[in-house]
This record gives sequence, structure tokens and C-alpha cells, in this order.
Amino acid sequence: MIVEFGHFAMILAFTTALVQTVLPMWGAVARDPALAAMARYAAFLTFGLVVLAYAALTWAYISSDFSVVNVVMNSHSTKPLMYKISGVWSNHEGSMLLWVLILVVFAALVAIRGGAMPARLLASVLSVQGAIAAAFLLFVILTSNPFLRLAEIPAEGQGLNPILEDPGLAIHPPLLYLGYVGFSVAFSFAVGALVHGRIDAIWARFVRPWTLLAWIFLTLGIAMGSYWAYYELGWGGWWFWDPVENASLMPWLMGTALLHSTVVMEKREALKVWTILLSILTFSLSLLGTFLVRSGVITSVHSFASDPARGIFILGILTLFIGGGLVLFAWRAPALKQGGLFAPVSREGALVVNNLFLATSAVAVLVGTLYPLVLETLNGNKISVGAPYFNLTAVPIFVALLVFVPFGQSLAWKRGDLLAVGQRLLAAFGLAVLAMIATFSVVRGGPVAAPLGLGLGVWLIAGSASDVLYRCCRRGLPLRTMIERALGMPRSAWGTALAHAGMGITVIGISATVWGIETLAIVSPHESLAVGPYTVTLEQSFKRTGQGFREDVVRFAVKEGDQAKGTIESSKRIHTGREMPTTEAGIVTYGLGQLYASVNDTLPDGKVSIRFYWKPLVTLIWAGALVMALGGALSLADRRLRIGASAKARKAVDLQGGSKA
Amino acid sequence: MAMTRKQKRLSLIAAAGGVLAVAAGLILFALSDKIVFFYTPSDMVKQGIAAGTRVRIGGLVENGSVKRDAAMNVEFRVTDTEKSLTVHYKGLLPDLFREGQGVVAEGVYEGSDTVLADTVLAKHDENYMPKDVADALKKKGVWQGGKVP
Amino acid sequence: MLIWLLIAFLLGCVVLGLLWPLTQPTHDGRDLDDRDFYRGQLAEIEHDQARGLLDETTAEDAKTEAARRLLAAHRDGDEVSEPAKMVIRRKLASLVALFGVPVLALSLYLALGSPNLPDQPIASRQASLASNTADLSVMIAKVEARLTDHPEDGMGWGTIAPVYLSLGRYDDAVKAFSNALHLLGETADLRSGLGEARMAVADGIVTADALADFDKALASDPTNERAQYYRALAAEQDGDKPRALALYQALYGSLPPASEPAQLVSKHIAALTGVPAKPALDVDAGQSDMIKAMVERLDARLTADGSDLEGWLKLMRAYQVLGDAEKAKDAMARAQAAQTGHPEALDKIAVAARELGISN
Repeated sequence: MIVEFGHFAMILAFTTALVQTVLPMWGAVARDPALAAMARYAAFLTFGLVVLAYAALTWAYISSDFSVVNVVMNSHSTKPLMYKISGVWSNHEGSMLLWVLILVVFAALVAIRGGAMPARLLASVLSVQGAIAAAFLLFVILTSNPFLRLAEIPAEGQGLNPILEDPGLAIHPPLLYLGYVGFSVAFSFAVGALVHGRIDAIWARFVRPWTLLAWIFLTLGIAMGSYWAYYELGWGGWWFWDPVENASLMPWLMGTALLHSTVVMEKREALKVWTILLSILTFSLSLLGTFLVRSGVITSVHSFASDPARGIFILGILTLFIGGGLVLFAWRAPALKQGGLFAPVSREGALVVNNLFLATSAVAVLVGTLYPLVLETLNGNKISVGAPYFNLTAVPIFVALLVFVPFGQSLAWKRGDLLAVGQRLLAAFGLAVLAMIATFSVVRGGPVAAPLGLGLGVWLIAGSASDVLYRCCRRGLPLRTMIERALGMPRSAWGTALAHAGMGITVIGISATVWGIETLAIVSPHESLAVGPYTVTLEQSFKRTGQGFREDVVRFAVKEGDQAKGTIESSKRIHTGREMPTTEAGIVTYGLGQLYASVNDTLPDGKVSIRFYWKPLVTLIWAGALVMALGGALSLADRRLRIGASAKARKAVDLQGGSKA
Repeated sequence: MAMTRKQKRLSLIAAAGGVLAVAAGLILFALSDKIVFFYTPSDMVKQGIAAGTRVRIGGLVENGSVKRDAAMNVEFRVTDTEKSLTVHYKGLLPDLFREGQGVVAEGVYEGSDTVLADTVLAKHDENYMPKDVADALKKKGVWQGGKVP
Repeated sequence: MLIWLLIAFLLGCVVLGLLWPLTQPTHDGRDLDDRDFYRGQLAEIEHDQARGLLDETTAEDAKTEAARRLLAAHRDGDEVSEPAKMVIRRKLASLVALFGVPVLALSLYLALGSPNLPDQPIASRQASLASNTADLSVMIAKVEARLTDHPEDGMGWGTIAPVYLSLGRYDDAVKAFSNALHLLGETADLRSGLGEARMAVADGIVTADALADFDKALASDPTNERAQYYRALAAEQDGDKPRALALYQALYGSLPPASEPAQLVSKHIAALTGVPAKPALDVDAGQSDMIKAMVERLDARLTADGSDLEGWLKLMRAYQVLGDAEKAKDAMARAQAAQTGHPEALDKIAVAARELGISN
């Protein structure tokens, strides 16, 4: 009964989402406040109904109700509670319902905070949110319904794919979806503005927090997914340019561009049309990501749902929203009022450069991801576009952008002085060069890219630091004033500095992978092996059983010189429910680096074939992402209203005259 | 020397055009140079691939063809039931690498039906077969895709 | 019935929730308080200036700009639609909320939902099933639960493996047999069971893997009849008639005459030699009895657990082939009942019925 109630609630949510789509939009276009006012109520109702449905499904999982097909296929009564709950979204049907749940949560949040928004804008924004929710609810109801029942009830469920039974993967999809779906708000605002016919700083002020929130979640989601692949797949790699990974990277690149352009919108009312376009494109890429992952059209190491009917349905949704959004853009955007002007060398100009490079790198990733699909459709040729392609296209574009970042960050609004900024950044630049020379001299030989990358990372961090110092510290100022100034600095400025420094940290981590050491060997008991600065000795190999699996474990003692550093274990696990072996990598963190062991085989004579990695500074990759997200959070916490004050007042006045035209 | 609105816009467009042109060039070059084609063993033989070409081959691991030595070198044959190729590989094979199962290997074609692989991928779970392989084998009528619900 | 009460309650709440804003008096212009925004900006600038973060000229410039935007916002008012049209729209919207929403939701739900199926949480099922120990599936579930916690229990695997095999869960049987072999060590029975399970997975073809198992079973116990039989069958499937015949004859000699296995073997010998087997054994009758017994077993299994679509299709086909149209029809009806809620499965059943000529 609870299950059926949930099923009905889901279907009813579809109808309220339809109401939410049609009536408020009509109200907004016809300027009818009563209809427009329905938007918030409908949004709350849709939200409540989807929550009911999701809770009912979760209950079916927790109580192991095997009259529900979805539960039979993906759960087992003996699973720990945590995996029963995460089991809900570990499969296609449930994860699509989670997608919708997050969507309506965002819509409800917009509705709550919408009291201060112009009613017509709010009505059209919620209407678009309703349309997305209705489309995806229909998709779930018709092609991926998690509430289908069985009359004859099996005694047990079939369990979860063991590779998915992992805490990292339990929280990875919700994080990623929070990011993907969060960009729907920006999309809805863009469409709302096009319908409304007005876009200004207020608009940007309302959009920016949502974009920032989505960006924070997506950043964390990508980092989480990358770390999961690193320790679970047992290959020691942390990024594979896999289509599913690209599907999350593209909205991130575009969303990062959007984040920066809304700043220009909010503070300077410039780049209006471009920001609208970026909002549409960012969510389009999120939808594309959902399509690529959910339709199974791509060869990927982790796509686990494939059904042509679903693919075609999502493709339809994709066409409707992307196509509709772009057509509306082409039709209405020329009518939008032009924004403020700025000199090419200014903060705005730098942000344009930022947008240009980010959007271009997103396009490069997009081409590399879709080209194999297109080619296969056109002439049946199968190709794989791998790391060499991306290393030659998206990576250099992105690196070029990073070189500019400290300049952009230090330039003044409206009209900047490149020379002055250059002088200010001299120290940071010196530091970066010093770091490069130092690494060159310490690590003789090896690829040139690594010290250069390290220098780039230092340049980003030092650039951020120098900007903060410049803002609050002048020669001759008393320390107290300096601290006061630092504390008084807007949180968004701290956020910017932190996020850019985080990027620098990640860049250092990535560069250092070049110095990683890989050792592949067959080791006898008590035999030792050198892995980078460490010596590992095969201590013992033994069998062990855990809940639902048996495993062959090998344990090595780790030493650095003569000093014992503990042990490292890796195992081959056989899950008894499914005859499917997995490798459990052993990872031990020393300082910022990690020792990584991945066993291949235990041979009959007690020898073990194993792969060891020493990965210096590898933790920085994910630590940097965390710092970036923290920067985003700080910036989100800044609720103050700002206008980008230009540094040279007199000239700016002249320009304002021009901007009215 | 204040620039007019038009000049500013033009300079922006020129800069954007420059970046885009460079990017487009990079993409085109990379697409012509850095992509790897997927073949089945029969395709390889039919199309007469030159030695030294980077390829991705897929098929089933031939029964009884896997040979390992103490230095972790592995040799096995990949077959599409018509033709087969020998693959040399040094390193750890994926967990699900089995004789008679689907496999994709990427590496350099050395001529005389031999590939020196640097990457070997096996199917990812018991229902997953690399899509390339599944498609190719379906055409030959070997593999019956999908389980009965 | 409770479910319909709940559904009615939920619908009522939703319809009221949608109608509520329509009953409210029109609130108009509050919408456009952009002015607050720009006033806020002005206040911020003054605040920053007071803290010394902005110098005088910069602050003045920023203030001018905010003031200019404030003026622009004042000019851009919002007008409202004509009242007469608004009344019509409201009526329409009320109709949608009152009728459109319930009708659409209920018709979709009636098409897709199963309102009469109660919840089946495992806790309540275990309580009700515990008394009925005869239920094989519950026993299996218990053994499986034990094996999940104690995967090292070889005897458990050895016990459940033949059960899986007889239930048609061939993949599980293969796993269980191989686990048992792994843990208990080599025995001819387990090894030949594994071979049989592998053969079953391959739809009755004695594959190379399965043959290897039978050979191993015979290596540890040369008298294992099952392994002998399948080895002969493998030779027969390979088309090696002389070898098959020799193997069958050797096996036949060691079997008690007139026993069920002996009849089976003699049937094969007859087929290979072209000579009808000894009339005393009445092979045809025996064969069709055996087929009937198999079909009955399948029927019984599907009655106990109706989730196996393939099984249902086989059963329908078997009855039709045996010439029992009534039972075939009955099997179709029961298959449809068991697969309610699976449109794809129902389609397949309908297609199979059409192909087999089973009429409704």
C-alpha cells in the first residue's frame, strides 16, 4: 500500500508539474497575476509529491519488499542499511527518480526565495522548472518506472553489483546530480528572462547563488568520482577521459564560464546576451551528460543502463529543451537591452577571455566525446578518442587560460592597467620561476611538462596570495589596519582567491603524477621490492571471508630506509552472490603522496604477482578540488550587494555616456 | 586614445576569432592524428593495416591461448571466430579477463598478425561486454546479447 | 480499500492547493521592487567607503552608476492584463485543477499501478512463511542467507547446488557447485553436477568446459554413471557415432536393467544403431512419460515461483506440443497472471501464444 501510494504520488506529481508548466507561463505572458501566482503553489505541491514517491521507494528498499521489481533486481535482504538506501539510486530507475527529486527540490527552493523576485520572472522560471520536471517524470513513468510490482514474489533479491557497493559510490551520484540539476535553475532563469524581456543586475543577482551552488556540488562530485575510480578500479589512474567522465567535465567547464560571466552581469550589467546563452548551453551539456550516461550510446567503462527506448526518449527531451531554449534565444535575445561597456584590458575583458577559453575547451571535449558516435553513425567506423586527443586540445586551451588567471584576478573593473598589474605580480612570477628552477635542478631529466606544470600551480597560488596582499596591505600601514582590512574584504573576494589557489593545488598534483613510479613484479614470500623511496616486503598471503565475499589477501610490510612504516594490503575479492572478482587496491598515504598496491594473482607456490605505485603529491589533486569548493562556498556566503567600482573614475564617466546608446 | 564602442567590439571579436581558430586547428589536427580505429581480427586482415599503426582490437580470448611467463609477459590470441591475432602484453590483466570472454586491446600493430598492447580491457561486469565487441560479434551471429528479463 | 482513501485524500489536498492561489485577491505591483536592490547597492558602496576599501572618486563613480540604474528601474513599470479576461482565465485554471489533474492522474495510475497488491516487506513475509516450512523457496532463502554470512560453508553450497539445478537456476547451480568444489575438494558427484549445470546453461549442449568436468569426475570415480552418460552424449553431439555407441553400451551393461537410466541409455543406443530397442522396455512410452514428468516438474516449479518468463514460454510450448490445448491455454492464462505489471513479458507471452496457435 505504501508502495502503491508512492506510485500514485509520482504520477500525480507529473500532473501538477504540467499545471506548473502551462498556467504560470500563460500568466506571465498574458500578464495575469493570479495565474502567475499559481507557480509557487504548484512547485511546492510537485516537490511534496515527489518526496512522497521517493520516500515510498526508499521504504520498499529498507523493508526489502520484493514485490517491487526494482527492489528485487537491486537489493538483498542481508545488505547493510546504508547500501539499501543507496541501492535506491544505484540503478537506472531509482537514479532517474533521484534526478527528478533534486530538480523539484531546487524548484521549491527557488519558490521559497522567490518572494523578492518580480512575479512574472518567478512565474516563468518555475514554469520552465515544471516543464523539465514533467518531461523527466513522464520518462520515469513510461520507460523507467521503479514502482512496477510482481504478483509472485521471489524469496530474495538479486543484490547489488559488488563494484557499486562502496561508500564513495554511494554519495557520488547525488553530488553529481546536485551539480547537473542545479544548472537547470540557471537555464530556467535564462528562459524566464527571455520571456520576460528584461535582464539586468537583479537577474544576475538571483541566478548567481544557484549557479555557484551547482558548481560547488559538481566540483565535489567530479573529484569524488575521480577518487572512486582511482581506488576501486585498481588501475591507479584517476582520470580516463572516459565519455562518462567527460559528460561531467563539460558542464563543469561551461558552468565555470557561466559563474564568471554572472559576476560581470551582477556588478557591471555587461555580457547580458552572452550570459543568457551560457546558461542555456551549460544546462544543455548537463542534459547531454544525462543522455550519454543513461542511454548507453557510448562505450564506457561505467555505463550500466542501456535501452534504446530510453535513449530515444531522453534524446527527445534533449532536443525539446536545448532546441527550444536556443530558438527562444535567437528570437528574443536581440530585443534585450545592451549592457555596460568596458575596455579590453579590464576585469571584464579578462573574464571574457576566461569565458572564451573555458567554452572553447568545453567544445574540444564535446567534439572528442561525440566524434566517435557521429563517425560510427555516418560510416560505421569505430574509433576511440583517448587521452592523446584531449592532451592536445582541451588541456593546452585550459593551461593557456590558467596562465592568464592571476592577471584577470588583479585587473580593475572597467579599465585596468596591465603594466601596474604586471608589476604587482612580479613577486608571484618570480616565485613560480624559482619553483620551476628548483624542481629542474632536483629532478634531473624526466619530462619537461612536470616542472612547468608545477610552476603554473605555484603561479596560480602566489597570484591569488598577491592579490589578497595587495588589497589589504600597503607599506606603512599598521598591522592592525591590515588585519582589519583583510577581515573586511568581501567574502566573495576571499572565495575567488581560494578557488584559484585550489586550482593551482590541483595543477601541482596533476603535474607530479609524471614522477610516479610503477613497479610490476612477481614476489616470493619475504622478498623485498623497492618502490620509490620505500621498500616493501611480502609478509603473508591469506584467505579471509567477509559479509558476502571471500578474498585472497596479500600483506606487505613497508619500510623507508630502516624505519618501519606499517603495512599495506591488497586483495582479490570474489563476491559469492555473483561470481565476479574485484581487485581491492591497498592505499596508504605518506605525507601528500600515496603508496598504492594492486594484486594480480596469488600463484600456487606462494608467490604473488603485484603492481605497486608510488604517487608523490597525488592527494593534492583532490585536495585542490576541495579547496575550490570551499572557495565557492565562501563566495556563496557573501550575500552583500556590490557594484564593480572602476579604478579610474574620470575616464569611466566618459564611457558611461557611451553606454546609454 | 579611447577606443570607440565599435573598435572595442571589433578587438574583442578578433581576439575571440583568433582563439577559436587556434582551437579549431588543434581539434582538427588531433582528430586526424590522435584517434585510434577499432578493428576485429578479420577487419585487420581484410584491410591490410600497415605495421606500426596504433589500433584497438576486440574479440573473444581464444580458449587455451593464454600464456604467461615469470616476467609477467602475457600472450594470448583474440578471435572473432573467423580470424585471430596474437596479442603481447606486459602487466596486470583486468579481473574479468577470461578465456572465451570479450576483450579489447589497444596497442601497436607489429605486422604478421601480432599486436603489442599497452592496454587490455575486459568486460566490466557479467552482463557487460565491450560495446564494440558485442556489435562486431553480433554481426557474425555469435553472441546473443541481453538476458531474458 | 485504504489505498483508495489515501489516494482520494492526496488528490483532495493537491486540488485545494492548486485552487488556493486562484481564490486570493490579485496582488499587483509588489513585484517590482528592484529599487530595493539598487538602494542596497548604494548602501554597500557607502559601507565600503567608510571602511576605507574604496577611495573617494571610485565610490562616487560607483554611486553615480547605481543611481543611474535605479532611475532606469523606475521607468520600467509593469502593466497588468484586463480584468474581464482574467476572470475567464481563472475559471479555466480552476477547471484544470478540479478535473484535469484528477482525471489524468487517475487514468495513468489505473493503467500502470497495481492498487490491489499489498506491501510485502520481508519481515512480515518471513513471519507468515515460517509456519509453512514446506515452501522450498523459503528454505532456499534461508540457506542463501546463511551462505552470505558463511561463504566458507562447503556443505551448504553442496546441498543447495542440486536444488538450483532442479529449479532451473542453472547459473546459480554452476556457482554453487564450483564453490562447493573449491571448499570441499574434488568429488565425482560434485564435479559431474557442475558439468551438468554448465551443460544446462548451454541449453543442453555438452560444451568443452562441461566435458572437461565429466572427464575429471570419471578420473576420480570411473563408475560415475552421470558422467559416463554425458560423455557418451558429448560424443553423440559431436557426431562421433561409433564412440558414442561404445560408451553407451558400456554404460548400459553396468546399469540395472529396466531402470529409468537404463531405458534412457537404451533409447540412445536404439537411435544410434537404427534398431528398435527391446520391446519389453517400451521406449516410446517411457520417453513420453519422461517428457510428461519433466513438463509436470516445470509446471510445479512455475506454480511455486511464477517470475520465470522463459519457463512459462517453455511450458506453453510443451503442452501445445504434447497436444494438450486446454493445458496450454491454462498455462498461458497463468503466465499472464504471474507476469502482470511487465508489459514486455506480456507482449512476449502474446507473441508466443500466437506463434503456437494457442487461442484465447
